[in-house]
Amino acid sequence: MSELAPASVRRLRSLAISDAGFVFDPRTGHSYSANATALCALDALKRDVPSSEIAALLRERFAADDVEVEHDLAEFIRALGEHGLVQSDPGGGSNGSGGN
Amino acid sequence: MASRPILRVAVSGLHLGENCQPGPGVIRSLREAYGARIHVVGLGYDALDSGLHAEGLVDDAFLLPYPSHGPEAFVRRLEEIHATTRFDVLIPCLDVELPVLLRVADRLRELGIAFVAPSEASLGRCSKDRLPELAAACGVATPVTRRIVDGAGLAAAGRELGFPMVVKGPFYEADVVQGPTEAAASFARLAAKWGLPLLAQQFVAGEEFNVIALGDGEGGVHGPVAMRKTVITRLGKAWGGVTVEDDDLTATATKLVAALRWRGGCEVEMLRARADGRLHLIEINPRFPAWVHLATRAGVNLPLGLVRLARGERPPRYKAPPPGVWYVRHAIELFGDQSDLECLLATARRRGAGTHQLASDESPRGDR
Repeated sequence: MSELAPASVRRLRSLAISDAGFVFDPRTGHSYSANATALCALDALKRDVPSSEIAALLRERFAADDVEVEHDLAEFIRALGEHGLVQSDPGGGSNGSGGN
Repeated sequence: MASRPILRVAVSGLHLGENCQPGPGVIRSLREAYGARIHVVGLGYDALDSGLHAEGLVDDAFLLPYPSHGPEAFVRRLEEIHATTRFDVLIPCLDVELPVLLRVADRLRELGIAFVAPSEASLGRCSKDRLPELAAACGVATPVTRRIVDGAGLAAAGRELGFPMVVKGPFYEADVVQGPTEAAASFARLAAKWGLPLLAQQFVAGEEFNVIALGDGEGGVHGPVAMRKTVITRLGKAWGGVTVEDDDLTATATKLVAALRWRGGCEVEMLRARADGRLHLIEINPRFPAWVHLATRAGVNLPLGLVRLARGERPPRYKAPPPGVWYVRHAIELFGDQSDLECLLATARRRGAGTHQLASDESPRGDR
């Protein structure tokens, strides 16, 4: 699993995240809901924890198997990129209004 | 005993329909600032302008001739209204009113009516066909835009800009067209509705953000509030929105409004391109948008600032608005009977707020 550079998670640090899983991006006004697994992963990503350690953390906390955790974490990071919240996809804007 | 109004204000642009106008949001913002100490004269163009009939919105209502009837007809009607019910401040809320009002500014001042409006030069610089010039001067990206007056120009724009492309009316409405056939249909429709010239604009995929602000005419920009539309109508208008905190967005909008030396309310429409994250200037609207009340609820009462500017005072010191304040519009029906319309259509005036309240024994029979 590829690691994210510290600068690429800067946007994540600006998110307002509630314990109930409500996530608000003040820069774009988008809001999301996150389950307990996603909240755990977000918290670790914001702290620059390496992906391998996040996977271990999730395995331990949610009693999931190795393959499933690695796959889901990679998918989650990809989704964050699509939403412009990490810079794996710098274009962002997944919910574009599509016109001017 | 009710205190005497300290502000008597006339506001236009009162219809909340498919294309919502700013007047109701302006009035609600002022009522929040002035409480019972305000008297609102509603200025409508049609007896069915919804704001003329909304409970608690206007205290007195009058119909105006459309600005297309020319400055003389417009100012004479304002003089008549002013002679009937004095007002000290006029807040025009429609784009098409500004060029007419600028031509009669001296006569309004002679009557003691204060209003805030951009100079003719500022207004010209933010017209849709001159935006690229402004954007370039400010170092802001903007989609390539071409003025089109006929089919040949449209075809040339299509070849140059490619598809999808945006075809825009001179004041309102835009279509995203996917090819030459759609472009021709859009051109015919918009030209018939709004006249020529139209504009063809490069399509930029991304997310739209809007910034509302108040310019003081000397390069000062007060209370910029940025928002993203969360609910968008078929016409591309905001039916819901949320405030956002984006320093780049706010600074870019502020730079543009300052460069125009804009005097009055305005809305800067920008698009953050999906491809590279850059902001593109799309449009500058020469008045507050219909979502102006969202800014007020986020702590930035810009209509209050506008009134203070009109009176030669300083606008309030606005704090940066918090992100996450949202609104969603809620359409309800307003009811009346023929007396409500009769009054407006026969005398072009209707006293009092809201519609005639139907008593239970007056309810339409079909409802019983």
